[in-house]
Amino acid sequence: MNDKNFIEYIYRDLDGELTPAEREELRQYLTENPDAALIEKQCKAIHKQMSASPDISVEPDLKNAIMKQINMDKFAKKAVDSSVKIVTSFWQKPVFRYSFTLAAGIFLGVFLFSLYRADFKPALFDKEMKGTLAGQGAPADWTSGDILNFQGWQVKTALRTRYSSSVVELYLDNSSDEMIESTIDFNPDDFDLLVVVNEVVDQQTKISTSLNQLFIQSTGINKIGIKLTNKNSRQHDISLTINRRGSQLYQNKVTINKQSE
Amino acid sequence: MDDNALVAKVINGNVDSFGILVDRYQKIIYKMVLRMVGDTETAKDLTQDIFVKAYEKLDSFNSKFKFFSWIYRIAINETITWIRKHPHHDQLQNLENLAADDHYSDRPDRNIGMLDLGMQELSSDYRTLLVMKYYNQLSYEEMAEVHEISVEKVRSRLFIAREQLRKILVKKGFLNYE
Repeated sequence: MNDKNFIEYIYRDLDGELTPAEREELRQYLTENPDAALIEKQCKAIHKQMSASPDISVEPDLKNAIMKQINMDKFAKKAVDSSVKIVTSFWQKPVFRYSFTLAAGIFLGVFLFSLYRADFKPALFDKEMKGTLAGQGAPADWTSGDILNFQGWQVKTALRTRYSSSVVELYLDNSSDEMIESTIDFNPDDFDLLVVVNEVVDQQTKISTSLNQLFIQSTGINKIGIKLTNKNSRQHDISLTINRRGSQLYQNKVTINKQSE
Repeated sequence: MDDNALVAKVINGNVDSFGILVDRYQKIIYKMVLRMVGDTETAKDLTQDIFVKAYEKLDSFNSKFKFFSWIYRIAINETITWIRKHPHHDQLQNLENLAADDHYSDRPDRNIGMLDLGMQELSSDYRTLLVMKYYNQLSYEEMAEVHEISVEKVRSRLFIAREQLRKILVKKGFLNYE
């Protein structure tokens, strides 16, 4: 102990923290140093007076005043909103936000791709028909006719034609995600329906015929060949109409020109 | 039920549990505030504000720590802020009132104590430590938790506070034993 740290010993003594040996050392030092003994007296007086501070009572209405001021709904509301808060706190973290956006994008992409189960590849038919339908030999006077193309929302249709003085061949290529109705109208005075070839048809596709009409209800991918007899080989039209859910999507015609024998 | 369990109940919507926490700590906090500001009305208002603020911030309380240390820290901060905002607050007059207050009926002389005068000359940080030590009788460990410092640092600061007070009182002639 020295004249620098003896005050620390005095306070530790007042706090009851000195060991018996340290206390004896302090007593010895104070006996030998009257100035230090005076400081100890002062410290003791302060300590005694502060420790003797009277108790203070609290006014009984203090608690009521506090409870009146607090917002009773604060945590009741929080309990209800806790799930919202969890979601919000996750959303505020970029890693969760970007991951969620990416996952949502992938999901949306897969969903849209599934809608396009029909063939909507952009290449439309621009080539004339080749070969023959129903295995018949090709007439010598084949002429390539009009090609109709239509592409709308989730529907694509193409109608190719060729004709000779004796027959007319139509090749209908339909792709649609929903059920559509395709109607091919012709004049029975000019044509007779000879054969319909279902090259590719969806299971839900239905085809019906009459004297002047071929009516096709189809969905998915359908490739249908139609052969008509060209009764009089003069200029006449064959029309194509596409409807979906009762609304007309498309109407056009192909012209079969007069074919000299 | 321990403090942290009561806090959890309050956060889950049981407001009455906060009343239990008020019962437990209103006295010690009121005593601290009163010794710091010197008048009962201000001390009462500040104590209310401290508990209301604690309630509003309750969901930020970290249950790894002691609720008492947390609310006591709020109390100290609020009190010191109030003192700084009211530099012309007549603390000596308030101390006279305090001495004459019925709360101090046990006090033999009912006069302004030399300690109160000396304490007013200390910085609010040192004054707070002495109030914690003597009027609230907190242990060094509790003081360390409240201030978020080590026990050694508490010892060191308290030593300075006590020494400063002693020197002030000597200077004022209150401790003349020669």
